[in-house]
Amino acid sequence: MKPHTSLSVWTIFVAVLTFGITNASAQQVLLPPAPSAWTASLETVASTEDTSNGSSAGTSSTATDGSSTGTSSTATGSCHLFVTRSGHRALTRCSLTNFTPTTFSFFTHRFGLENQLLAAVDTIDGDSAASVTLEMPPASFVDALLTGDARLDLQDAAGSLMRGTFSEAETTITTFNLDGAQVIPPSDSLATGQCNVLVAAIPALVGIDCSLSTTTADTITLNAGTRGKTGNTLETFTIPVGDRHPTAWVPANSVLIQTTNSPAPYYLSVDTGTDAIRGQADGCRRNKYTLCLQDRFVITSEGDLGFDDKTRGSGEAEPISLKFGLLRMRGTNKSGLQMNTLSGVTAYIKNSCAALQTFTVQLTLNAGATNVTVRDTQTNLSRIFALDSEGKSSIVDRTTFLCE
Amino acid sequence: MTTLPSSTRGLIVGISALFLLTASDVSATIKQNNFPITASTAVIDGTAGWLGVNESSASGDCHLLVTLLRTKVLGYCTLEGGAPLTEIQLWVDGFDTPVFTTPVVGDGPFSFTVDPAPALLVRAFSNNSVKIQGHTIAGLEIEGPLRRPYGVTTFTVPVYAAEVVPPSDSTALAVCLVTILTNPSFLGVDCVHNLIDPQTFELYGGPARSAGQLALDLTSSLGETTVTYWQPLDNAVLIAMANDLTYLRMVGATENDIIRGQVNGCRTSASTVCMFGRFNVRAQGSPSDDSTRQFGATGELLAAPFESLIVATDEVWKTQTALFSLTGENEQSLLVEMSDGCSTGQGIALNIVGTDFERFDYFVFFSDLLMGYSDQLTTAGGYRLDRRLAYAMPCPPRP
Repeated sequence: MKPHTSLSVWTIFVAVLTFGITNASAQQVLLPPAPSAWTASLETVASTEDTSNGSSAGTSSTATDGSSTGTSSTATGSCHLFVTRSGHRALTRCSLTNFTPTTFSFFTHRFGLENQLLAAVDTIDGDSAASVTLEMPPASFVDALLTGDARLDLQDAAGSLMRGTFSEAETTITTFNLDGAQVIPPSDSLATGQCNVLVAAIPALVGIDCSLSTTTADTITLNAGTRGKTGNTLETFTIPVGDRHPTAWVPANSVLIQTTNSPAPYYLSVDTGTDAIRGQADGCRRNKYTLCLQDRFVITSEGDLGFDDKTRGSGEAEPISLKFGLLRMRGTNKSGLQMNTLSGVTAYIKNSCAALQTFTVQLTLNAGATNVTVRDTQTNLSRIFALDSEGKSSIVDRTTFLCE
Repeated sequence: MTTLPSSTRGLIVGISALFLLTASDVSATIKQNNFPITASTAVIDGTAGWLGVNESSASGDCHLLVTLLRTKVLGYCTLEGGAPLTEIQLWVDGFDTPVFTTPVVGDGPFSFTVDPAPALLVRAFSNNSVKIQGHTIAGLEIEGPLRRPYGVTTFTVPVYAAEVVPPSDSTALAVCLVTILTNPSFLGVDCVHNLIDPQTFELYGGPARSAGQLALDLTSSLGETTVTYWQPLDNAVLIAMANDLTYLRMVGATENDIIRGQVNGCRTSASTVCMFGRFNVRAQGSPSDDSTRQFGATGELLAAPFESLIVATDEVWKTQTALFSLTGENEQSLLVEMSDGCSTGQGIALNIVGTDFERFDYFVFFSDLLMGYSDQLTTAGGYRLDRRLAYAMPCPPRP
């Protein structure tokens, strides 16, 4: 090695590395930040000494001394995890039968590293509906959720174990921007906030995740009703005063689930002690099959789920940024193989309001015949595009929605 | 079928092992970066920098590395002028208390580790909403925002016995992600390994299949199953790394328990994406507002590694997706999906889609480092590429 003679190589190396970079932020994938929910079905583990060979459902467990732990072979249950948008908190809520946990332990087994204990929380006065909150959960655990490598172990006072691996729950997420002007009548509050409401119809839980400018909020209410009007309260969430990032993860009643999973109008109010702020559900509700672009347009698709299978269904939404996302078709082909590719629709909505007073919709089809519906939640105007890669209609590029 | 040299077959074995280490059959619907994350206060746009406040003359730089496993954040700060620091803090915008605080003494340089790394901090790096502060007994002395730095290159390095000269008997394996920051020169090494009772870990200067000279002793960064290292790097070593002339060497409890990995080949940088540890992919094009000039698109590998594509009994496809963008906020983007169906005997498939092919052109360049094949695909003139099997990039022979 002759470093003093390699200046030209060094120069080329630096040039290659910096080639084409004009904007550092462009290197990042901008994701619409959102909370998430995860579910783990729990099974009893045969022995507390057996921590690496999986679980054995329906068997009596024994303590390390070999004695019976008293855990019934009928112990069953599930736990549900809610991770906030910023990642500052992870709330776990369990529904268990014949098991009273005293310790929640969170593990990962990624990249060939088995049984990495990342966090453990002892419960106080635990019961079969135990819940614990992880403040500042480890990033490695939250990352492991995404790859299906996050595990929960519950231990009771006798040392018995229940275990389950988290998988993503189907949810509907709505974003609220709150201020005093939306209150009826308008309040004098200068406070502002942004909240996300996440509803998991199964197992009927609602998660609240707010970021507020005030520390005096003590109550959050979710109400039915349109903008400019008041309506019935669907749920009240009590939050600790002093928390600018309050959260809740509680059972949801059927009316709340029905309201939040439909286009029905509803709003969120935050009581700051002396006054209130309010935010209207924007109608752009994200779920497994819905893209929400520009915080305004709902895009769904319906088409062939596989390359050679004529079964039709909804495309699964995959947001890339606030303006850009995929609607992937995932199905089963004739030979029983699950299809899971980029095939589907690439959706992009350009904000041209400054120059043209319009939003421009761009759709690119990459598979079989697909119908794409774009709905403007502000005007409730919908358009359906019948795309077909066999014909001339695989790209939509000039359809516009008015800005105002 | 082409007969490959033993060293190439060894590489295939190593890469296959890498696949096994990282395989996941769960579809990840939320995108995430698959590499260590770097953040820096280095001045890049006139607004960043770790600079004195409250009339302090202090200045310097901080550089941070978030490990692939997201378990740790390694930090390194320099300080010039100002008062000696007593504490370093990391803050996330919108939160009233620091997410991390560590005591320090004196004028630096300061090394620190955030362990465990909270999800709040790691997510905030990608939103450019983290700042670092240095405090003295009297209060805040210096602070600066942390941004993604320019000039970051990452290599995925399988480390295994067949690379040792002569090959060793070790059955151990390590997978290291080597991150190089060029301005200033920094080296990050982030590994998982299964070597029992590891004794030494070193970076050597030298080409593949040859013995070289010790360049850097990394032994102090060795853990039971992981390695994490983040320190300034000598320019001479950096130049050697740029020319593929360095390798990692790890030694276990016995003299035959040696593994080695050349830091070369497929690399990921701001404009180049390495897919499946084998294909270099880059793109360039013309944004719609300037059709005469072409420049490189920024690229990033997306999603969980080796996402399951097709699942059947004994048949699993894996897919990786890269996002290239010509403009900020992914306004004009190109998605490149590469699907490895080698376990099904169906080759490697390509799939390319974009946001706006009617208005702008893209040229995508593929290089197969294993088979020495290159290809160029274009989306110019609104022409769009459908999913296709790229037979020119065949599967490697099964080990």
